Amino acid sequence: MNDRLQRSLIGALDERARDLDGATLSRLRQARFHAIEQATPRRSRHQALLWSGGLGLAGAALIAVLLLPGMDRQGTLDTPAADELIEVATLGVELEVIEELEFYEWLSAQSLEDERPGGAA
Amino acid sequence: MSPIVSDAPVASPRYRDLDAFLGEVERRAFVMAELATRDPDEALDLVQDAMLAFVKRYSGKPQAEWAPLFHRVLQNRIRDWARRREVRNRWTAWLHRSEDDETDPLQQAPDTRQRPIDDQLDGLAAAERLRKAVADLPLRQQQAFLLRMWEGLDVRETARAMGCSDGSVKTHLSRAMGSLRERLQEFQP
Repeated sequence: MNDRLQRSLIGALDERARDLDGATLSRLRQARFHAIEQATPRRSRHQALLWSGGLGLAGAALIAVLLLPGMDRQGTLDTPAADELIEVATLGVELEVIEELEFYEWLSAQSLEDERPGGAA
Repeated sequence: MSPIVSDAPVASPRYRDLDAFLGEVERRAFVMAELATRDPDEALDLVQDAMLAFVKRYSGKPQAEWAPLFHRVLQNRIRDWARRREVRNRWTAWLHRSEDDETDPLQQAPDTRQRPIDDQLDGLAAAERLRKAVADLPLRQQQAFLLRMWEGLDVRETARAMGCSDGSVKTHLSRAMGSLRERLQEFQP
C-alpha cells in the first residue's frame, strides 16, 4: 500500500477516534470504571471493620499486658512509651483508611476531569 | 444485621495501570466496533463487554500482554456479534420471503429517485469515504487491517488477537490492502 493512501486511512480513523461526542466518551468512561470496579475485590465494610478493629484491639491489649506493668509512661531512648506501642499495634486499622484514601483521591481526580468544560474525555 | 457492602473498590496500584491502559485503547476500540457493526450503541455494548471480560480474565497478566489480549477479547465479541447478526438476517430474510409473496409488485420496484451508492459517496467528506471503505471490508480483512495498520500490533500479536495463524493474518491483510487500493484510487498518486 502506498504511503499516501495509508496515511489518509490512518488519518481518517484517528479523526473519528479523536472527535467522538461527549455522550459516547462518557459511556466509555463509565464502562471503564465499571470494569475496573469489578477487578478490585469487594469487601463487606462491616466485616472489614470487625476484623481490623478486633485485631487492633487484641494487639493493643497484648502489648499492654506484656509491657505496661514495668514501663514508665514517658519511656526512654531505649524503651518507647506505651502510647507509641499502642499506636503501632493499631496501625492496621489506619492502613485500611490510607488504602481507601488512595482510591478516593483517584476518584475525585476523575470527577474533576469530568467537570472541566468539554472534559468528558 | 446484614453486612454493608462497600461500593468502593479496595485500592490497589493495579487499577491505575488498568485505568490508564483502558483509557488509552477505548476510543480506538469503539471505532473498531463501530466500523464492524455500523451501530454506535452496539459498538458501545461490545466495548463494555470486552472491558469487563478483559479485566476479569487477564488483568493479572503482565502489562506487556494487555494490548493483544484486550483486542483478542474485543475481536471475539465482534465476531460473535457478526455471527448472531448473520443468523438473524437469514431468519428475517426467510420470514420476509413468505410475506413478500402476497405484497404488491409495485412496492418492490426500485426507487428511481434514490441516487446510486457511488453517487452518494461523492457527497461524503473524504474522511468518511475512507472510513466507509474500511467498514465495507469483510470482517476478517477489516480486523487484520485495523489491528496491524492502525493499532500497530505486529503479525504475531495480530494473529493472537484474531485467533488465527500468522499466515492467515498476512493473507487477510494483503486482501484488505488490495481492496482498499482498488476502491480508493483517488487517494493514490
